[in-house]
Amino acid sequence: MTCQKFEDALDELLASSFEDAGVISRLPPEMSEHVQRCQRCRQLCSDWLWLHGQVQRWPVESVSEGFADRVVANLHTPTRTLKRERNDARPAAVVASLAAALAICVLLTLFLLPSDHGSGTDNRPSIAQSANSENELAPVDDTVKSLVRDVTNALALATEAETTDIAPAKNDEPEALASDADALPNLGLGKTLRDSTENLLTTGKQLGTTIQPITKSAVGAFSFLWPEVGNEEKPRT
Amino acid sequence: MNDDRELAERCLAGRESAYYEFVERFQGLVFGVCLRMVGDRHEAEDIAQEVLLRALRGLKGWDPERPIRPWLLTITANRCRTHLSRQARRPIASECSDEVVDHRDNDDDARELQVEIRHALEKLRPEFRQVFLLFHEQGLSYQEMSELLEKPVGTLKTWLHRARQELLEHLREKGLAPEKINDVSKV
Repeated sequence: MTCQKFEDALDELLASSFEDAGVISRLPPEMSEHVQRCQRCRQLCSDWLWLHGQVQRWPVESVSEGFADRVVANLHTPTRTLKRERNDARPAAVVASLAAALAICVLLTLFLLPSDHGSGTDNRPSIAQSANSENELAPVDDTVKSLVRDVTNALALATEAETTDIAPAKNDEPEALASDADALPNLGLGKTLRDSTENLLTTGKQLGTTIQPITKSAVGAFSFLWPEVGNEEKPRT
Repeated sequence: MNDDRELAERCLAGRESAYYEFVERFQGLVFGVCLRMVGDRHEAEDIAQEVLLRALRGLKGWDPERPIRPWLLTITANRCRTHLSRQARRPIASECSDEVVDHRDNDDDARELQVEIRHALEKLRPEFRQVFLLFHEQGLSYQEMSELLEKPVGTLKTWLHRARQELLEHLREKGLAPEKINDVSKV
């Protein structure tokens, strides 16, 4: 007999109301023989029988007085009443879940479906929207133009100053001579400023050309955020 | 078993006295399992009441060819499992351990041992505890437990083995279980 078979046989013995903890001497011969030569199973047998014996000593637990009366009385109560008491929390949870699902659907519809301000199913911004988008961007354009104008003025002033500095002195006054001596560093500064400004303007133009379609698309896509812009162009009835 | 069948038939006939007899016959069995499973006397009584109500209402579904006790224990086990899963995070109150009375051996050691076994039992995983109680206290076989708990016999064997081991370890730590035999080898 193997240890596994011994365990199974011991379980069968315990299941068949094997209540006596001192029963080792009455084990079936095959089991008894195994126990004699296997210390592990001897330990197992001893432990399980001891534990089983302890459980068998547990007192029978008794219910409180009037238990049977309560059961029989409840037997005549409709089942639905008991279920309703137990499931009180469920309707509220269901309603809350449905409300949350509905809210999510509405939000998804608002954010994902194409706007009605355009022309039917066309997702592209309408002409009116584009025009308004340009109007919206007008302050930005003004700012950029102002900036370019300032830079151009600065460039003109720098060029004028440079020309003045390079020109030969019309008098032999000591200040004029000193001014001629300082002309060389001024020449370098003016050229650098001019080059930088030209680069800035070129880059600005390129950037504007690149950004313009993206800006228009973005404005069209988010036009639902300011619906009144699109509606302004429509005749009011 | 025939007696149980006859009682069930009287219950199905709607006799009030049969209802009382049914409850009084099985209340100890059902309440005992509930109490050991949930550890609280009031909760155990509520569950036992629900189990007996369900049994009486569902007697039509019981197969008269089979014993009624495993059928009742199935309902009990299911109700206890539902209860325990609802209160998974709530510690089990060990109310029953304060009321342990060993009618056969009233000395302090025996009482302490009973208390410790129940404490150890409460620390077991619910499925281990359930299998241990059904096997050692209710005397169900593996096959009966398998049908009752809808688990394979191999799983139940593992659970019962672990339940015993954990209980014995707990009791040995307290010096209440027999000492281990040295030089244990497997054949």
